[in-house]
Amino acid sequence: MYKSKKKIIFTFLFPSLLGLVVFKVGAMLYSLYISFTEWNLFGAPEFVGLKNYITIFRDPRFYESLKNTLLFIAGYLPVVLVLSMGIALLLNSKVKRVNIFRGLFFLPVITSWVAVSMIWKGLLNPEFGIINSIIEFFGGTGPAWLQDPAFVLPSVIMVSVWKDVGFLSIIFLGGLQGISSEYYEAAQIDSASKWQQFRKITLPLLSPTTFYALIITIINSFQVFDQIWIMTAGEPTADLVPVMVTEIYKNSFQYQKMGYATALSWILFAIIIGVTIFQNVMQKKWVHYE
Amino acid sequence: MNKKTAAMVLCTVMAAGVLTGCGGAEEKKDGKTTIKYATYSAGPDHLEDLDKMVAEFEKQNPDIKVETEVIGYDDYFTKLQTQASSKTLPDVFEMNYENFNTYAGNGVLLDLTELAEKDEEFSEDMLSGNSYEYFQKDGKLYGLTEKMSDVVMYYNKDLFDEAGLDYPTEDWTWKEELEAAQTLTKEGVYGTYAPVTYNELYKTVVQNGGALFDENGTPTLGSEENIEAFQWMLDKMLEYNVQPTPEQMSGKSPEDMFKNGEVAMIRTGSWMVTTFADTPFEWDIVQEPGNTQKAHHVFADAVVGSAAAKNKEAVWKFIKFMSTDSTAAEIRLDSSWDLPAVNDESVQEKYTSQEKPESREVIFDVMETGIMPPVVDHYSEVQNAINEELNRAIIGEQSGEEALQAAQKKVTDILK
Amino acid sequence: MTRNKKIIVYILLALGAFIMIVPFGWMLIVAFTKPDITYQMTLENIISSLSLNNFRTLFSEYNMPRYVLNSVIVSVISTAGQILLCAMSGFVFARIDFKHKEKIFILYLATMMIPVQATVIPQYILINKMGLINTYVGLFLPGIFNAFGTFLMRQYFMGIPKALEEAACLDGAGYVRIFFQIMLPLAKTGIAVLAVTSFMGAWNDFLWPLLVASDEAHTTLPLFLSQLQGRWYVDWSVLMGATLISVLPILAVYLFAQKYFIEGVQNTGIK
Repeated sequence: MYKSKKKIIFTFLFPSLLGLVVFKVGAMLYSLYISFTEWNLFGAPEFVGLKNYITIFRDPRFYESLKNTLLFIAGYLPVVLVLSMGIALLLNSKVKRVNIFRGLFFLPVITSWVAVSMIWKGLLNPEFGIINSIIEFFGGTGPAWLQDPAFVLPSVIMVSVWKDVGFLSIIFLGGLQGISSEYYEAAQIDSASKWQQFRKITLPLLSPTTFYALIITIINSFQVFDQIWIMTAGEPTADLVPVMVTEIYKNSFQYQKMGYATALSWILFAIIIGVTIFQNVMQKKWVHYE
Repeated sequence: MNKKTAAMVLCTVMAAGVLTGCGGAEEKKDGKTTIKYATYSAGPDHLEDLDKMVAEFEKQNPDIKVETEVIGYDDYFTKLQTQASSKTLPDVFEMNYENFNTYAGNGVLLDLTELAEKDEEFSEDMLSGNSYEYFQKDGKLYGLTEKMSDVVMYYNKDLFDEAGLDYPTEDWTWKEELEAAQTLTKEGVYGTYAPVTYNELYKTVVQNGGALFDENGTPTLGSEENIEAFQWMLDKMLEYNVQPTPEQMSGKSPEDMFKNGEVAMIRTGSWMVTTFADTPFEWDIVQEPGNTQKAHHVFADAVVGSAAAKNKEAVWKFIKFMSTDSTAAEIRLDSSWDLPAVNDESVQEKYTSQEKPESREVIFDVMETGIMPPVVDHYSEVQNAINEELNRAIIGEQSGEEALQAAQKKVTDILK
Repeated sequence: MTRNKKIIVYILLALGAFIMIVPFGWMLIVAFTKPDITYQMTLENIISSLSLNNFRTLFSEYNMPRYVLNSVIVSVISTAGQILLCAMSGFVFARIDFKHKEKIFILYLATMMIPVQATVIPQYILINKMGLINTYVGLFLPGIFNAFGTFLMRQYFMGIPKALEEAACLDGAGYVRIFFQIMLPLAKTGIAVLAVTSFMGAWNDFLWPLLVASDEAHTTLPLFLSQLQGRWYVDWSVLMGATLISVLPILAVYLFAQKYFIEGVQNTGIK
């Protein structure tokens, strides 16, 4: 369709690609080099070959942080995607003053983690918090959410879903807006049920957006850091539930073991890119472009 | 707003940004030397005081200009590390005792020994006590102690009156503290509070005659005295519950709880004197109860210079000023910005003559039994490893003894 | 929509909205009251201790206007740059086939997959070599090159039917015209989403400005908020006041952009 392909690529793609290569790819390659060295941030890096990687694979802490990261994703990913798609559908309905609701759902997204963690620590407090009070009302005993290592991940998942759902639902909402109402009109003429409409029209036509949401959520949740760090700060569980990026952070800026930290980063990178390529290949099976 | 207007606004903003950004830094303006100073202790409450000190310094040294940068403490060392790695450290910057060893040991600090010797207006005894020695390494001087602070015990006089108890005295030991705390603890009030962390631990074990490390820096975490001390810290919370558990604190800071009258005795820093000034109840301070002996936290901050600084004379002058100048010391005292290190008795008098709290002299008294943080390599890693084991004990996963032994093993590995 | 369904929708929305608001509400209360009631919030306490003190402090003791200005400059430029670059590159990935296209796209995705802690120091060293430390350019430049945005725009462009472009091509229109007059307008929703997300990202960015800005003239709001958390003690009311101020521009951007979320039906115009 487009004839002057080379011109287009040069003017439209090249600036973005150049900047990316200079600022991101360059930094990435440098960090890859560092992963084969020992560097305490003072002086010069010292080449040590594969030593960092070998130490990592022998370190039980690495496996624990990997396990926790995967557990987080397993709990967070499906919930946040399904909920935000649901909320987007609700917000898409032609109900009066739905604008206000849209804004309200977005508020957690823009509220700072400091404020969020203060409130949620209160809500999750085992003795005074609302959540445990509700559980006790129904006859159960609420757990010590942030003080019991077994419940830290569920707490963090809950808060993350609460905070991110507004953001993802905007993404889905954007996608829903892009579906021409002609399709729904035609379906109604054919007297298709709402559920059928959802399955046969909404889901397929929404799939490019769903694919985007899925990929960025995967990439982001592998790198989960802020919420765990802030929610467990000051709690006795502070260092007891490591994930990949908390270990990377500690090793780089706190322990001054930059080589070890970058090696961890590259292992994480390899995992993420593997999962993403897999998804990219699978998309042909369910993502529908016009 | 229509498209054209939006586009114009955008262009203007962008132009403004680029133009301002192209200013660049100038090193010498009108023959003046500029030095850059980074600090973590000036914010958020002492920005004006910092400006006053800088103004005074520039008055005394008209050919030097000081540009300051204030960074939050939690992020200060992240930034400093990055600057060290790219050799862009500021000319002068604040340093605390815990991190001094690492920076001095890696050769990024300016050696001040000769500058100090050559300076006729400077002598060692301008600094009080041993503070001249704090920031030396291998016989070389790398920084001058700028200010000090310590930890004391604050107590709520009203709560003691209500419970019919006598106020704590400096002869108290852990036993008396526990008894009082048990009487004080009731609905909504806890008798006492001390953090259960590495920072608190290294002092508490000394109060029981133990130590976390020996003179050579070898870890001695699992000693009997240490275990007893740690058990005492745990028991206050878990056994007697005269100290709130983390759950019972529900996210509040201990200082906030003290202000709210929810905690009757609290071990916290001398810097809290101003923050507690407007409490609705009467309070005072006293020396911490020890067990077999007394020990108190003493913290020291210094100003150090970068080895790569261009104008070393200017750097030395500023370091000397922040540490020993009497005007600077006055500014510091007036705003309760910790204690100046300058060796001047009028300083102590001025400080203790201020009103609240009554027993202000305690802050000076505790320096006699003060201990500094342990000097150890890989300080951050060691601290995290120990805290992890302590935390496991707090949530009941292991006993105090097991925690210290596990910590001993981990720390030995780290320091290998 | 039937009346029953409407009621259910309302209830669900209201419940959800309530859950969303609570922390924001707490933030508002703390920002507009004096510190002594932060932990004892009864209705009487709140009403009796309402005050604008926190905001007065922020503007008299601290240089709040400057921090806001800095954040605005950096975020606006970063957002504008991202929209332009990501739309252009997303368009190419969506419509042009060329050798190694898949591989280059994976390269884009790859830049999102490395944690920022690993790349921030090399990036800092580079910016330092370019002499851009403590400048606005140094603050916004690396953030403009953002693969998330390219990915997003690509998805939106791929969802647009090709018929319109084909017609325009037959009419002899060049690709630049097609891009600006046909593709961009059809992708308004995508651009609106991108504007919100990139503005938020630039506005809330903390680690990069921490390293790059080294004086008050270049400090951004997140840095200032971190400074307000003192080493030993936090004054919550002032902190929440500042947080509130820092939240307003994002809210404004969102409210402005959300009109485009309801651009209504995408009329393909094929009829």
